[in-house]
Amino acid sequence: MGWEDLPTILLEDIFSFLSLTYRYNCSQVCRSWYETFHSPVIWYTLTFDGILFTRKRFHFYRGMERIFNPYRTQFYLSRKGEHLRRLIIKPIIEYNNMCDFLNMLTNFINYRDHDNYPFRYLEEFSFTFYVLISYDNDLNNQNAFMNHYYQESNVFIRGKKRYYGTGGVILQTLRRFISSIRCLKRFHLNNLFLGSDSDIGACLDELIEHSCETLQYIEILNYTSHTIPLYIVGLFSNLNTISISSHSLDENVLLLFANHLIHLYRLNIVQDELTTPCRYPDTVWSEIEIILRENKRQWFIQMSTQGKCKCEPYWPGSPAPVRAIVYNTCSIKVDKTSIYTCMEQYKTTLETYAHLKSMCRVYVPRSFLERADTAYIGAVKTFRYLHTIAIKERISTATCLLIAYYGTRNNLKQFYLRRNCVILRNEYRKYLFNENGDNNEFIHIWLEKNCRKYNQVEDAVTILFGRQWKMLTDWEYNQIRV
Amino acid sequence: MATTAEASNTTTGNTETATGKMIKIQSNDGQIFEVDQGVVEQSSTIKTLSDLMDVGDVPIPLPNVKASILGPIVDFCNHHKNDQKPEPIDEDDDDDPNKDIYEPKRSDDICEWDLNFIKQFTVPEGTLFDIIMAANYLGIKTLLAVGCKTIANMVRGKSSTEVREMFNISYDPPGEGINAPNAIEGQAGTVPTTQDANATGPSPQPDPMNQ
Repeated sequence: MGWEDLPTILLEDIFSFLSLTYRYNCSQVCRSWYETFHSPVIWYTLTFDGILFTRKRFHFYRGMERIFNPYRTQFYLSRKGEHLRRLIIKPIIEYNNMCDFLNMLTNFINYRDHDNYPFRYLEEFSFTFYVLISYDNDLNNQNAFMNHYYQESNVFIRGKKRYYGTGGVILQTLRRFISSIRCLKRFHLNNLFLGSDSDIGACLDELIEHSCETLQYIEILNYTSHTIPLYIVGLFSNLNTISISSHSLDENVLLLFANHLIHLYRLNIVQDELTTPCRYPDTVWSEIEIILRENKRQWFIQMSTQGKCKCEPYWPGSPAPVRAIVYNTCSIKVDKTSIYTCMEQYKTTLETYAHLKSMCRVYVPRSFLERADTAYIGAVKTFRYLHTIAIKERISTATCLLIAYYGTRNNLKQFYLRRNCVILRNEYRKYLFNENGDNNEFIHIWLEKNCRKYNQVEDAVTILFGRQWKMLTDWEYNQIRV
Repeated sequence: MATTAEASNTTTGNTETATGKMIKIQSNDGQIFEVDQGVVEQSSTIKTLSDLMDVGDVPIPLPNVKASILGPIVDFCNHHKNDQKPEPIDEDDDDDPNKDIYEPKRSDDICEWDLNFIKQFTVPEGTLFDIIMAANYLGIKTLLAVGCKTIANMVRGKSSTEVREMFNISYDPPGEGINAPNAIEGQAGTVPTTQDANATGPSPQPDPMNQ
């Protein structure tokens, strides 16, 4: 038994971790590895990352640059294209290569006749635009980036930064490609800067023609300086998940979703560095609640912040079924007042409250009054259905014990805590625990006994949860997904 | 005093319910390991065997695994038995299983303990191969994932000759032996040293695609 006898199923797993080049190298190793190279499983996903299907060339003025290699792409498409299920286009700075690649795919589809669609299994298309940023005081930089693909420069200015968006040839190419693919199930179109409804709507118009009924998941993060309601998303009748930036919604769009999308369950309202925060009138949520109740449906709204987002979202008004609040960014600190606001608004719905992505080299207050300890305990007491909480900022061991204590009385299942942020302290010596069923003296003894060592805290929480519980290292904390 | 006694009672009670009864497993060279329920849960093979046979005190024989390999595997499972399993929440059942599909596959997310664990096995001694085969045989998904990612990381950045040398895979020159391309598909296939227009595979060139 040697490495050439490795079971095919494991080899497929290994191959799917490798890029095309190394996959090819491995296929040359021996016979069984070569056979695995041709198993369809490893060809399900294609990620175009700007390096694949390109080669380096030296240009006299521009130095080393990557040139798209149509021959290799052709070879790939004709041999392995039929297995393709997910096509991912990463943000690439070489727009010309990206356009060439998309053009090639479009032509490949159009070259076949209508009944002979080559990507029969293609389910997912994901496109993320590379956003160029320049600073206003730095004029040379701008000119360097302006190439002939910018026929109409679509610029978004915020502070001193200029963000260059899509338009012109890139947008046309993208639209041509979108119009030629069919029967998608999942679609992501991110970081586009489309200032008018006609542009972004047009991209989706072409999608609706062939994938109207099959599409289940859509993610659209489009940046503009003003609110553009995306009514067209409401026309994909079988959607069950929508991820959308907050300024692409308004009360009419939300009502359209409620009325027309009968399978919609998860609505993810995303806030990003460039999103304009948007507030919807509170009455719309009451209307939506009535519609949903009449049809016996439920919505799961997740408010998430991503990227370099620095500001808190505008919280939707009270009957909005916000079930999860996820801060997936390292720029936002825990804000006590926002926890209190959420406590008022989403008392009966919230299930997940998480600050992900641990921060480093950021000032975190030490004093008890500045920290969010009491807010967290209040939140755990108030949110009856809370099952997941992730805390990245400094709290004390006593707080940790109390969160677990009150959390397990309700519904808390997952409690993620970054070990580096926990300090050994008990600030509750004079505090009166008078919740229903609290034995004040008992809690004080219990806190005092367990809060002095990390492993004691872990053991005490383990007993409360009835399974092994540990604080997480930073690495582990950054791996969690909620 | 009373509270401490209570607390210790609950602790022992908890561990007992969590671990349950111990099960014995026997490697092919006769060594017997005693493992608890948390370890058994992770290995689909041991789990089915123990369910099927309803063994009392009789050790379950594992004829494909050596003691020198089974020992570390038991350690690995003991370390991982308290990991939080992604428990399916009833309401989210319809969309949660799909959630992972959106995440691209990465091979650099092995945690530190696992990295150190897998480092003690090497290719020249053949132990890395044994541990992966054993994990495959025992059906331990977490260990298999660690193993596959490790191999992917080893293979990445190497040419086919280097990979062949690293794993000590015998190479028959083209046209002879079982690894010959002619034997594979009965046609001139991909030969690393020749450029052939009929070659199967995405690229007929022997050089890596991205320099």
